[in-house]
Amino acid sequence: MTDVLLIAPVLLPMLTAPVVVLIGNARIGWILSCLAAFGSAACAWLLLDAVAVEPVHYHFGNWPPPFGIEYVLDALNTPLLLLSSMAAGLALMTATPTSTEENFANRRPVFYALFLLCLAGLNGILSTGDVFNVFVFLEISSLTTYGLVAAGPRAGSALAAFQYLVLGTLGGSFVLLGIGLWFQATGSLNMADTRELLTQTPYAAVGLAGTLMLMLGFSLKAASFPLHQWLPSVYAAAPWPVTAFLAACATKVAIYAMARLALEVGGLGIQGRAVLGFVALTGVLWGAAAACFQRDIRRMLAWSSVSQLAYIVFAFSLGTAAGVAAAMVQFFAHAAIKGGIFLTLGPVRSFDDIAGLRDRDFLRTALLTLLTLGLLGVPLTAGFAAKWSLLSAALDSGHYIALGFLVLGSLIAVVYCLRLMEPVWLRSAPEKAHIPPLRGVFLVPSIVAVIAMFAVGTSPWAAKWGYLAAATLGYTQ
Amino acid sequence: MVLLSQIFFTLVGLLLVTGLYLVIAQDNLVKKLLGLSVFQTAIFVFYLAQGKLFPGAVPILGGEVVNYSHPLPHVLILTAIVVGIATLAVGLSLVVRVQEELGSSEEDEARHRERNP
Repeated sequence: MTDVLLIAPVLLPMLTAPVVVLIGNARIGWILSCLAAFGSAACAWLLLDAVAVEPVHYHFGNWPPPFGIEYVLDALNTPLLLLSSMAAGLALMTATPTSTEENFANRRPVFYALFLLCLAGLNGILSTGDVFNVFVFLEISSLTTYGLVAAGPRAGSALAAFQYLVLGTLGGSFVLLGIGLWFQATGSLNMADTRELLTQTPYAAVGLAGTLMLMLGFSLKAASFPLHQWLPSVYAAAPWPVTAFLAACATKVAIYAMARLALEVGGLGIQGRAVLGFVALTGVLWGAAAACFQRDIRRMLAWSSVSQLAYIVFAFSLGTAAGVAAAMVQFFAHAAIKGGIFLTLGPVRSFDDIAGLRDRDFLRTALLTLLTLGLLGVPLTAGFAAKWSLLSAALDSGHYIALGFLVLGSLIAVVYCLRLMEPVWLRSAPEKAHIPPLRGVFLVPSIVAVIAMFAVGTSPWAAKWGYLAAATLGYTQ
Repeated sequence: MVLLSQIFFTLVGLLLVTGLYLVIAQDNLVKKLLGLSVFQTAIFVFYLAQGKLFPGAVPILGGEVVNYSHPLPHVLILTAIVVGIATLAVGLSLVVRVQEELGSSEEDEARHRERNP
């Protein structure tokens, strides 16, 4: 039974995708794809108890590793599987068969199929214990994302998708090169095996070169500062369910891959971690500052994501159990908050669209305000829990300068959060509003995001999984 | 043989930077894709070179063979080539859409028209 659950988060969306295209009915396709995404989430949820004890392995074709391909689910990737599948399901819910947001509205089953394949790719990156499999799944998720971004309603969406394609393929190629260098140094593709062999190999320099190439490739994919250039235009151009999904998990899966491969398997040394941490801290400030000057609401939120993702990279760069726990809390916090904000905003693109929102659409105003408070880091919300655990992790490691950067980053965040709230509460509504109110099925994901935000903020659930993950990675408390 | 592999990997490096240069320096979207293909091909060659041994026979059992070449890099790169073709196809179709929507396949011009419709 566990075997089926283990491969289901990858297989379920992957096998549902062609079915959706073959049936060809938009409504049935929509329901099927939502079910597939939530089904994957349910499988990940059912596995949680098992992986809390020890990692669970699945050997394809019963070939033992390191010769065969294996999937390994442990305390680090199983909660993230749950996160990515849930986010995909909720985002898909808002991509209703009747919405006119996408460019190829007449070929909607293809849109759902691409979405599912993207989820399958991300879940594959999370599940696999084979280095080359990571590359294959990375390309599956990237290729489908290019298509999803190009489905955006703007004239420039194809251009944004193209720019993403160029940078994303460069990133993927660097990953491929890094895997090749590792293979040269070790002769193995299995993660656990590679990790062992990299410490013993006489070609340590080749291994290090591979680690750095992987670092570079995943930084590009994760839009981690200073390789974030593609992110704002992609978030602005994509249809909003896609933007919400990308914001909630696509970049985070790349950060996970970076942490797992470069930091754990590659064993990046203390100097490498220091450089990574310092660059991430710069990114925290740079992203937050740039967000304050954007005229497009989605670009502003995208720059805020650059800053928030840098928090996760910094947490991993600490290399302590508390750091991994902080990263895990921030994974969930940012996914719930930023994904939730994009889903609540829906088709909103400019600040004028939300002017005087409190008079027109109180539900949306309330949800948006709660989520913005979370982004700000108000106590009881997940944003506060994430920042608190990160600050204490930095203090434990004696990074007092980092503390200044993180606090300053949070202070700058106040500016862009206020920019989001000011038109909602203080401006008067225009004569004619062209954004439909948030009703029915569109409400559900936003409410779930708000509940998730408070749940992560008030319970130690995410931090608990963070510490379990740190234990599987071999960090002591 | 060391000299041969050094020459080989130098060539791979040259191809890599050529591709990267084309991607960064070219303004035309199709030329960017060509640069991307050169970049990817350099990595394919890098993989393929790893598997070859001198002397090294095809990895089929039998005969009086001293050494077998490693088949795994070839298999891996077969996958990567397929991915590369798919990427190129998606990229070219996006160029077609950029040309249709913005009337240009030069990056600067297309971006200018996107901002000032």
